[in-house]
Amino acid sequence: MDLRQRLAKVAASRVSVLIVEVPGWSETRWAAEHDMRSRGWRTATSPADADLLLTCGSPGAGLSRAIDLTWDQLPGPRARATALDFADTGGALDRAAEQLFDEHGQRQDAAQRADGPAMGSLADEPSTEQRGDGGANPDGDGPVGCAAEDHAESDGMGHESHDDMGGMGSEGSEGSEGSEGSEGSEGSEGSEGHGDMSHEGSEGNGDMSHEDMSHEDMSHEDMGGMGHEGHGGMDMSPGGIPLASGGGGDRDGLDLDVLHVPLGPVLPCWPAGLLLHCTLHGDVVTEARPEVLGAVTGFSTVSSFGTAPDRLDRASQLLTLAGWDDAAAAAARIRDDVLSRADSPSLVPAVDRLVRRVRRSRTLRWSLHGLGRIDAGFRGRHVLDAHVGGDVHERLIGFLTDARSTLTAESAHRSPTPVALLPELIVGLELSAVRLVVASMDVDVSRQLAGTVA
Amino acid sequence: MSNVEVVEASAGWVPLAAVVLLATATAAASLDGALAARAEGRPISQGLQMPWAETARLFRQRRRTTLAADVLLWRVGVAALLVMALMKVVVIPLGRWTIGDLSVGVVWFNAMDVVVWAAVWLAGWGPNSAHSLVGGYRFLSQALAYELPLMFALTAPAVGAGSLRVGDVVAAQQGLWFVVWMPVAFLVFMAAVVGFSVWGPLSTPAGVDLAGGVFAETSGVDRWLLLTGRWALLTAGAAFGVTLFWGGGAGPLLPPWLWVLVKTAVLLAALVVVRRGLPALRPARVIEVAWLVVLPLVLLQVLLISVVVVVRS
Repeated sequence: MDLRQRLAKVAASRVSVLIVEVPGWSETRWAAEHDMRSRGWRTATSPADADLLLTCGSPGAGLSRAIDLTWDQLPGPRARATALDFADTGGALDRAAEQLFDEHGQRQDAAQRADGPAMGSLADEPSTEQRGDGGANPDGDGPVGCAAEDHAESDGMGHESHDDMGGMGSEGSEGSEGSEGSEGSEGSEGSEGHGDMSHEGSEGNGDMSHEDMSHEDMSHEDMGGMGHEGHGGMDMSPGGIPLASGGGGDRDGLDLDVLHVPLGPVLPCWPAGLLLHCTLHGDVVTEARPEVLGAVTGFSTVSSFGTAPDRLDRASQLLTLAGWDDAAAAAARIRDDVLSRADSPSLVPAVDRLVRRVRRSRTLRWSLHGLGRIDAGFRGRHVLDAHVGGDVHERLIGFLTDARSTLTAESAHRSPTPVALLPELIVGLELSAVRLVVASMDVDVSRQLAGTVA
Repeated sequence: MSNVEVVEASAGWVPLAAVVLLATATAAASLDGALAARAEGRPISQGLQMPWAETARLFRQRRRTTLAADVLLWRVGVAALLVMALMKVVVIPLGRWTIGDLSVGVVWFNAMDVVVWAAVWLAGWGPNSAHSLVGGYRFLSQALAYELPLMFALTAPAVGAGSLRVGDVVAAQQGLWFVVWMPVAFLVFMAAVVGFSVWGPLSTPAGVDLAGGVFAETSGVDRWLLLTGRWALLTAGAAFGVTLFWGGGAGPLLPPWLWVLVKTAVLLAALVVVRRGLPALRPARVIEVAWLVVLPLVLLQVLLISVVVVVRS
C-alpha cells in the first residue's frame, strides 16, 4: 500500500459534503445528513471546503446552473451525486465516495479541468432565460414579489453606487465595460458615468441572477478592486473586473466599498432555493432583492413544512449559525429519531431537555438578544402568523416548543413567511445578523411556489 | 523547588520545540473531535482520529485560486498563523530550558500576537472574495476588542515580577502563583488567547454564517495550515498562560518540563470542554463588552497589583 492509498483510506473517514437542497426535498437532505453523520462525514461550509457535492432533488434550470457553477469550484479530488429520494441517500453517498477515491478517475477529471479559477459562463439574456424555466417560477415572473429589478434606475438618493455595481455581473467577459466601470467608480460624481453604468447595470443584474447563484463565485468578481482603488488606479480592472466603488450614504458615514453579493442558493443553513441579491457596504446589507429558484417543471411535492422534523431542522440550522455545534447536533439527532421512529411522542423528553439547555444558555441569549425583532405592527402590516414574533432567540425557542407540541398533538398550523418580506427585515443588518434572521424566519420556497400555482 | 534558572537551549532543540507544540495541539484537536463525536452520537474513537483524518483529506486535496486573487499575500497570511505560534513558543520555557531567553520576552509574545492581526487579515483579503473579506473585517474588529485587554493582562504578571523576562516571571511565582492574586488578568488573557486563535466562541471571523469566513476559499494544504495554525496558537497561548500565571514548571515530584506540559494540557482541555457548551459571540457584542466591561476590570487589576508591589517594596 503506497502512501497515497494510505492517505485515501484515512481520508475516507472524514469526507466533507456540500449539500444542495432543491425546494421540496428537505426529507432527502435530512436523510443524507443522517447518513453522513453515521459515516463520520461532515457538512462543508463552502465549495472550497467540499470533497463531494450532493444534490437532493431535481433542480430547475436556474438552480442547475448554480449547482454546475459550484461544482466548478470544488478543489478536487471531487465527486458529485444526486439523491432523489430519502431512501436513496446512502447509496448516492457511497457511489460518490467510490468515485472520490478512484485514483484514475480523479486524474482524468483533473486533466480535463481548465486552468485557473472557475468563472461562471455568462448568460446573454438572463431575465428571459429566467422566464424560460417556468418550473421555478410558474407565473413566468423572474424574481418573486419584488420590484427591485429596476433598482439601477432608482431615485438616485445615495443609490448611485449601486448602478455602478450593477455592472459587476458583466465582469470578465467585456473588458471595455469593465474599464468604464472603473472610471465610474473613480468617485467622480459625473452623472453620465452613472448613466452609462446603469445601462450596463441592467445587463449585469441579469447576469447576476444566473451566474452568481453560488455565493462563492460572485465574491471573486465583486471584490475585484478592493483596496486598489485607494491608490487611484486609473483603468485597473484586475481580471477584467471593474473595481468596487466607494459607496454613498453608509450608515456610519464611512466610504466603504459597495459590493454585490448573492446569498444562496448554495449555502449551508440557508432556505433551499432562496437567492438574495444583496448590496453590501462593508459587511452591512443596504439593499436586498429576493429571487426563488425551484425544482423542475411538473414536480409536485408534499411539503414537510410545519412537521416536527421541520421545526427541529430549523432549530438545528439556527444553532449551527449561532456557532453552537453541540446543541445543533442534538437537534439534528432528535429530528432523525423522529423520522425513524414510529412512536414519536417518546421523544418528547429529549426535546424538553434540549429546550431547557437552550433556554439556560445565557451566552446565547445575550448574543442573540433583540436581534431581528418583529413587532405587532410589522405582523399586522404583512398579515403574518402570531407565532412569528419576538427576536431570533425567542423564535429559536419557538421552533423547539412547536416541535414538542407537534410530537404530542397534531401539527400546528403555520404558514410560511413570504420571501418578499425578507428585505425589509434584513436591510441595515450585518451579515451574521442577516443569516440568523433569515434562518429564524419560516421561509419555505417550495410552499411558496406551490402557492403561486394554486 | 528552589529557584531554577532558565537556560537557553542550543538551536538544535528548536525542531523538538516545534514537535512538542504540534503534538500538544494535535492532542487538543483530538479531544475536540472526540467531544464532537460524542455530541453527534458517533464512536468516540472515530472523533479522536479527527485531526489525522482531516490532515489526510487536506493533503489529498488540491490548492485553489480565485479570480484576481492576491496570491502572494494570501499565502503569506495563511502560513503566518502557524509561524507565529512557533515564534511564540520561542520565549516559553519548558521547565529549565528555553529557546530564546529574551529580556523582553513578554513583549515578544505580544508582538507576535500583533502579527496575527496581519496574518488573519491577509488570509481574508487575499482570495478576493466577499466572504473572506468580511471574515477579515470581523477579525480586525475582534482584535480591537481583545488586544488592549490582552496587553494589560500581560502587564499584570510583568509588574508583579518586576521584569519582562519570562524566566523572571516564573521565578517570581515561587511563593504564590500569579493566578491566585491576579485572576482577572488570567481570565482576560485566556479570552484573548481564544480571540487571537479565531477559535470557539470567538471564531466568527471563520464562522459558518460566512461560509467559513477567512477559510472560505482555502483548500488543501492552505486550509491545513490555517487549521493547524489556529490550534497551534491556542496551544502556545495556553502554554504562555501556564508560564505567566500557573507557576510554569513549579510542582512536586515531576520534573519541571513535564509540569509545564501537564498544566498546558489541562488548561487546553478545559478550554476545549468549556467551548462545547458555548455558542459563538456575535462580533458586535464582543467589542461592546470588551471595551465597557473587560478593559476597566483589567485596568483595575493592574492598579491593584501595582499598589501591592509598591507597598511591599
